Amino acid sequence: MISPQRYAKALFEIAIEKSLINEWLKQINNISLILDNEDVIVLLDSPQVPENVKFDGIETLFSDIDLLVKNLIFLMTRNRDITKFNLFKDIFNDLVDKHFEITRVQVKTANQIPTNQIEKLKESLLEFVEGSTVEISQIVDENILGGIIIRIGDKVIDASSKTKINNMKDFLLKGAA
Amino acid sequence: MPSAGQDIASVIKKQIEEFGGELSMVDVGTVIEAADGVARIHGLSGVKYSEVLSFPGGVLGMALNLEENGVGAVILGDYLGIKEGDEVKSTGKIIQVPVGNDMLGRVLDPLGRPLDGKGDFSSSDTFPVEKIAPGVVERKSVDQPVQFGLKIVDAMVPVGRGQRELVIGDRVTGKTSLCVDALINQKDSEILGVYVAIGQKASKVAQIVSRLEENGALDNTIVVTANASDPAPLQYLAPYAGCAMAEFFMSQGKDVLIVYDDLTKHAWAYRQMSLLLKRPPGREAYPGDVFYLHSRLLERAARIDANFGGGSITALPIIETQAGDVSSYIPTNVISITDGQLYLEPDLFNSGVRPAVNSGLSVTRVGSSAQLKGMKKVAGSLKSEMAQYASLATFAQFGTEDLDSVTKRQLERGARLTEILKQDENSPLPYENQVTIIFIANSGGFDDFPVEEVRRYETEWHEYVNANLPEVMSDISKSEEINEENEIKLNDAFSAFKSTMTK
Repeated sequence: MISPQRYAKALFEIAIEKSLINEWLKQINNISLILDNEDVIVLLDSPQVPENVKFDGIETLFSDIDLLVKNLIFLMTRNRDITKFNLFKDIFNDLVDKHFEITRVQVKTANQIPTNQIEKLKESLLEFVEGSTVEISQIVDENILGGIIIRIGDKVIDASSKTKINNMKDFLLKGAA
Repeated sequence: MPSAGQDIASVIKKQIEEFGGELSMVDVGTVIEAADGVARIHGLSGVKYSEVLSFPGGVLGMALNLEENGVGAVILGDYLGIKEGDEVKSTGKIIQVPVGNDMLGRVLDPLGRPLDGKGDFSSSDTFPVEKIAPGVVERKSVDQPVQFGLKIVDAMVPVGRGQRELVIGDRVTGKTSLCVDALINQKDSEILGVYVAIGQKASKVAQIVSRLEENGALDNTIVVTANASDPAPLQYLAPYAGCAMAEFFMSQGKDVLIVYDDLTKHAWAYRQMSLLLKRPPGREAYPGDVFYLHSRLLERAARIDANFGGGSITALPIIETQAGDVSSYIPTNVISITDGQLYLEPDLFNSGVRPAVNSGLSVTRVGSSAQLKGMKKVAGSLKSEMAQYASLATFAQFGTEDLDSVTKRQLERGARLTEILKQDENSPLPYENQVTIIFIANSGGFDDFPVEEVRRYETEWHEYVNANLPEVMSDISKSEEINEENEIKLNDAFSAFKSTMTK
């Protein structure tokens, strides 16, 4: 078992050398859509299926992708790591983002935010993230009542009214005891 | 946290004013696997070792394995509600417990939450559960005794403040009982107690709590318990949490006696955790750091120099052996860490010698320098008499008819001394009474009584001497010595006592 991080790093280094980052990124995202099909994963991960059958399958499924990317799929199949392809894809995407200095931010609010406010938010976020571009994806969730939850990678800034009210509730319940 | 008396409105006012004021960035992760009280979490890239994690539903966890692709965490509480995909937040806090004077007399879980239904307590502070033990500079050598109130311990295997004395023996040999007796004897002393139950039956813990309560010792004791039904991570934390609570008192310059009951089960709990966290198993499937598990805990027992605030923690770890095997892995580890051991034997226990301490195999490495002078004086000859008796007794099993009179006398004396050293549960004996009874027994006072009557006469002698020689008793207790004048007085009193008895 090899960590998907290793595969991603290795492939990414080749992609930089050949300056094929964006092409490969697209291909990898397409592959992951195909691999979302459970039957394909079962076939590729099954120890009962002979290797040449698996490889033939890969050849037919991914006929139009670059040889080196295909080789990665062969390799992951042989090492029986293909089930972690989605994780690999995420890490590869992160590496690409890091390379182009893009920070992806997920913003959760109770109501849709107008575009001009999003631009403002981008500007203020730029101050404390590394990189030059901030890409915001919006999620609307009425359950948080108000405020905003910003998620940057593993970090979360929770400024939602729901959390604040919960915190206050905990505080008051503890205080009353 | 506001106390009951504080103006709650002002607190709420402050909260409203600061509403939304505290914004902080927290690390989050996602549960990718949860089983048997252990979770593997993806993300949480900024989390620290042994940081507290918050799972949905208010369940807490502790980050232990920080790996390339995520974090291995143990769940401190009900792990059945945790599913794959749950969001886990880091709290930024290294695991800690509340400490304070109000915790005395309470029964708590390893996270400091009350279990006795007596409601919340106010704690002045929190202490980290894991703490590096005091260094060489802050320490002072052991020179004050912890009185167990048990003749056999105080005379033969004395324990000093700041010492780590292992209590080792098979099941049902009275290990817990001996330690609880030691805690009970502290009810009128300045020493505070902490009793940590690890993986014990809840019924046994309840029994101990009521024993402490009935004997008036619960009020200056904290009971920390992680029962057999609690998750292994809680059992693993219990002794460290108890020690942190004791360290609070030590930091105030107080003396604390802490009982870890028992470290065998603690090692089991740690083994379970380690195996589930996929740490490599070693001998007997224990992880590689099982020695450090106990050594770092027991190192925290210390006597602090007065220049650094004074205070002490005396540790009584308990180890349960299987069929008397003291040379298996965990017992040898703990034996090598501690400053001696009280070895309890099932044979002695079953033949009615209780506490069943084998005085020949029990050792104290630093305690004898802490023994009070008067006791030291009388205990010296007691020890040699008992040692001689032990070697003769095996020999004399084949019959005593052909033995010479000196040997016979030694056997007779030894049998009576053994009787004198027996003691019931919950009946600690004050220092001065211990000294006088051992003094009389050493000088052959009980040689004329039949062996089976010795204990009855002992009780009556204590009553007699307390009633008739109060000034001698208080003198011994105060000066901690037994001078010649008092020796003569005691001998005279015993002759008088003997004549009233034999009449």
